[in-house]
Amino acid sequence: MIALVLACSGSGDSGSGVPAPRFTEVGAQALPGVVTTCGSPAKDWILEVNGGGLALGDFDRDGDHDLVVVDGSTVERAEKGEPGNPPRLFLNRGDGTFEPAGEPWRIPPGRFGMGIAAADIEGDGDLDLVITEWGRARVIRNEEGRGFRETTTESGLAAAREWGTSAAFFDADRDGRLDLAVVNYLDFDTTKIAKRGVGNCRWKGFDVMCGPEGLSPEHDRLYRGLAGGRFEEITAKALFVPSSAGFGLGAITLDYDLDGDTDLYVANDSTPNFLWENQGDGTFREVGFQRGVSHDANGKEQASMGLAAADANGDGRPDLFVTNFSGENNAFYASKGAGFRERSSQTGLGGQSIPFLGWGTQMADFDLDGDLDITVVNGHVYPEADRVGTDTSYGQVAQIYVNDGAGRFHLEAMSNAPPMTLRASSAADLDGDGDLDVVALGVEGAVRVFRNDLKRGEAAHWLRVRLVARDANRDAIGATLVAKAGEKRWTAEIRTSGGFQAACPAEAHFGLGKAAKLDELEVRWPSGAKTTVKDVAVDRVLVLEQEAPK
Amino acid sequence: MRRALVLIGLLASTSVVIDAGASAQQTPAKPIPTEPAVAAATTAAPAAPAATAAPAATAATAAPAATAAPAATAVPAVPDVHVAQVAQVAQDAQDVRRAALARDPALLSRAAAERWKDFDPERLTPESLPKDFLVAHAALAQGDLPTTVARLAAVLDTEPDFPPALHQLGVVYFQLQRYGDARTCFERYLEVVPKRIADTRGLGHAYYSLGEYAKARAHYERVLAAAPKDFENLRGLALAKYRLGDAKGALADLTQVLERDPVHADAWTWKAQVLLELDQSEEARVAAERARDLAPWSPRPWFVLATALSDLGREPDSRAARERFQALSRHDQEIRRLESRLEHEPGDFDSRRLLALAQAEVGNRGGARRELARLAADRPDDVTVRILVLDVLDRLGDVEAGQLAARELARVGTDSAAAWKRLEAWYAARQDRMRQIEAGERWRRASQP
Repeated sequence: MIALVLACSGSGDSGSGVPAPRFTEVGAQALPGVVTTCGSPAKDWILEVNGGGLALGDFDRDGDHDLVVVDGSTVERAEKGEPGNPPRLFLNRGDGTFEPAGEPWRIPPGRFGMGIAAADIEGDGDLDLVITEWGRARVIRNEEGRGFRETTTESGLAAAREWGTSAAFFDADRDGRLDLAVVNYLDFDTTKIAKRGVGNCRWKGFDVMCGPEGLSPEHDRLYRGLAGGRFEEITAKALFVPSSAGFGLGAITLDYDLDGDTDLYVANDSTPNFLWENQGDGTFREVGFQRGVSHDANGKEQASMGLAAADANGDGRPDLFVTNFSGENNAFYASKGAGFRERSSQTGLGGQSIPFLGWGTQMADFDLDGDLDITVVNGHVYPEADRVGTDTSYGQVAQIYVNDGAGRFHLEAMSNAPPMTLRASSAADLDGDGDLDVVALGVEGAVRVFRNDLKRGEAAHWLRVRLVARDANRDAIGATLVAKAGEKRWTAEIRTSGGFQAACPAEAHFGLGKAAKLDELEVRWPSGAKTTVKDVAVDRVLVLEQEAPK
Repeated sequence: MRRALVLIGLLASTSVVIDAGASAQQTPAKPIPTEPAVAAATTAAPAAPAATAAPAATAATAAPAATAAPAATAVPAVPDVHVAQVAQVAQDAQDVRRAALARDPALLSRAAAERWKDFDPERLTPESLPKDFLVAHAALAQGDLPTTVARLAAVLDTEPDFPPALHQLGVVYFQLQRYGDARTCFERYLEVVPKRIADTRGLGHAYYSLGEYAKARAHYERVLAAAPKDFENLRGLALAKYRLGDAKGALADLTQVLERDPVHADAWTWKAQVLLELDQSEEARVAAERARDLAPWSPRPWFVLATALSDLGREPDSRAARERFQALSRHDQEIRRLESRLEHEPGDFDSRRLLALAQAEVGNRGGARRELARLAADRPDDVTVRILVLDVLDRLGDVEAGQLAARELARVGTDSAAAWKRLEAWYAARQDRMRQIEAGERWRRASQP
């Protein structure tokens, strides 16, 4: 454990002479007393190790980002048919601290909560939810910013009891309604899987919980959005079925080939990752291998957890970042030609990550210097990781890889917080100061809030952009934006998916460095229509409404 | 003196594999074991050298494969340890092994300063070595890593910082994928005997496997200065350079390695990968095909080949390579799982049996033979093991080794109907009518109540 801490105890200088961003973990003040549960601390079952999920978004439509925390249960309670802990909404006071939402926002408990997806399903201007569970995925409708109502029964989502992890909203068939992908992990059944210590399951010579190897992965599901916030399953019809199922954990939408439709990348644990290429008509082709993102550069499938996508190398195409198991490096797939090439080590993102087991991750400009940094929250799945000879530890520090502007990243600790076992994370500007903060869940225990304490100088401009589409899904998920200032270009895509079991606000956040204004902001809406705005003032939130179709 | 030289060989050749993403463990030092290995597989003789040759480096980092170091000559059997001692090793209680694995090498006793300043391995002979060191050596030859750790730790408890034990412990920790502990041992070794830098390519491997590529490169360079002909070290240096973004430097080093050892499948694979990084797709294809031809059971050359072919726009060929990669990869994951398990529990018979079958399934003749040899050594009089050996060799089309295995089966299974039934089929397939008839007759007799 000491080694893992020391490896991250940077001086605060990124190596490029630029002070690294510093976060302060303020969970105890921002969300006092809020804890989650995920089975027993001994982690006898694989079901108990992934933790819950979280979503950041403006649920009450007051202009700041609120937080939904998806909580779990225990194996014993779930097997007895007792409900799990309910998901909870916490409303932002506007300063990055939260208070529990009132009774109208109460979400009924499910079986054993896992992940979450957030989007305006009905196009009525408020954020709805899909919550994944070890059980049936659930739909929670937002009633015009005044409260939640569960509509699972009439939603059209499969009634099957599966282990859903991440989920992602996107308009796969470009019909203007949001479709939904639900990523599934594995078939968990305590009558078929042995408990830790009984199942002869070992890691580095120690008895550990069994799985995922040796267990049966479950296929992911794809749903087409219908009128009235309902869904129709189209998994087979859309050819959203790979040759072999993966142990799905993470999902993120992106237009990797810049053809105007939205593709989907899925992180699988111990099995090849999937890149679902949208064929333009709502059907898909799995091209992970062909595009170089199914395995690492050596042809080894990794135990992938979380995902981020953004244009880190400035070529206008999204790059991918994948968090992986300890002993494996986190993978950075740089866009190249029609696909990607893994360039983790060459960019400084490989070797340093090897002792860590990464989960939630974001690629964004945390220090507002004009290039993208990467945050990763870590924590092992085996409490046995603290034993001798594992080259890792159970608790691990959260990290930020600071971009030096020349294509390399330098590892820094995100904060002075002690090592923790973190899982899901999401980023947004919680306190309205222009920089991005991070919220993370532990596998259990307190919710962590990492407040970005960036001391903004002259070279730390920013712009947040929210889009309101008229001829597509209202939040414009799938839109791409290009910001221009002089010779500089920044590209972003609107999505609410990413990380691990998490949802983020549907907005683009640009760190602009020295650019005190934009010459131009170009938007390609999900429908393909384009809007260009000239001379854009920065250091503000810009809400851009599409002109009504003529 | 010969024995002393043998010991020096042991120190100099850290028989570890780095960067084994594509089943380095399946890449034998030499493409196919020679006849003695076959005999070992079929006569229950412990396959000593192979035991140290190929750790199952499952660390993902350990991505790029490597080759088993020249273990066959580097770790000789120690003649002073007779069979009874080896049997004693195998009987070490599980709790003793677990206790040994639970020890932190950083907490081992330290010798007084300069205790070993005049250490010279040339002056050591097996007779002068601590008994536990010899037993550790024998346990290592058997592939029993936990017992090896236990005995080496015992040596270091009584003779702190004894350099050969420190070094060997580093090697074994590396094989157990305890890279941090391997680093601890090698660094301590260098502290104790700083002049022995040439022995310590394993420290570079440990740094590399921990992702400390800059330290790995610096250390490999130090070793290179002291041992310019250590091509395994040069290969490590190439990989470290590649990881640090110096693809051209890596290519130059790999080219040197391949000039020295043109059948180094792993170096060819790495060369192909580096060439891809340099956008030299056609050259990468050629190198990948060479690697594939040398190690057709290994998925990684197929992976790199598929990528190179795709870059060249040869989609049908790329698809074919990809399909072969995917088929091999499925087996490879199981192989890595089993190997990892056996590193900690070398006596797990079922896992070793499954591993032998998995190696045979992908056509890795050397890997299958190695596991069969260990099964036969563990259960020399078990007819079912002898039948398994014959089954696997038959599946591999390894007739020569199969004939030896058939003879062993006949010897061990004198009264076993199952043995003679299997032998009858074996000889029938060989069209050896006389032996087939004889085996059939023995089967009928053995089957009678």
